[in-house]
Amino acid sequence: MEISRFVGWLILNVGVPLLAPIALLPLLGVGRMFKGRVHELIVRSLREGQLFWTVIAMCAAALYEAAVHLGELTGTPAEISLGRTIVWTAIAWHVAIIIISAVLVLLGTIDAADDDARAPSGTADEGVGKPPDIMVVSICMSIATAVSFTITHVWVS
Amino acid sequence: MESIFEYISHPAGRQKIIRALGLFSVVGASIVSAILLIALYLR
Repeated sequence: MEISRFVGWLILNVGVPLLAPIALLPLLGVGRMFKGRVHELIVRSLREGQLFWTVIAMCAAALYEAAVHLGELTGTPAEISLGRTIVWTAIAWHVAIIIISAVLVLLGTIDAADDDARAPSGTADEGVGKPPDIMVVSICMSIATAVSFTITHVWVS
Repeated sequence: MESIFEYISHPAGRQKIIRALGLFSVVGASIVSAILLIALYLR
């Protein structure tokens, strides 16, 4: 695979979905209202596990690539068998991640609704504090999915 | 089913599930990525 083609694929399929949603937030730091609060804004945009939406989209794309490749396997029966095992491993893993991400979106939504209900009125939007677990998990899963999606793409190409 | 909803209605229960799923995902992703990388290398 050509390097330039691979880099293009990486930017379009991994970079854009992961970074585009937060790409414009630093611009808010230019204005007076949010000066010096860019970090807080980025945390706010991710704190309920919003990155799981991107994870699900990347997994769906990886599934499509793997499933298409399943019908295109060629070679000796042993090679085809090994190829099938690898592709099915990738398919099963990405399906599992889609289900897990959906569950985590559900839990993040309950967390957010619970926080809103518990916070005294007018204090819900003050400060960022420690990043919640769901946000840390969503960042880790985004990185893990980006890696597994990229390797799946290289495998099927 | 009722007990699951009861469990996730408490913040502590939710945090446990979130951490467990996160750990499973990261460990699983490492294993699957390693398998795919080895397969890629041996191909």
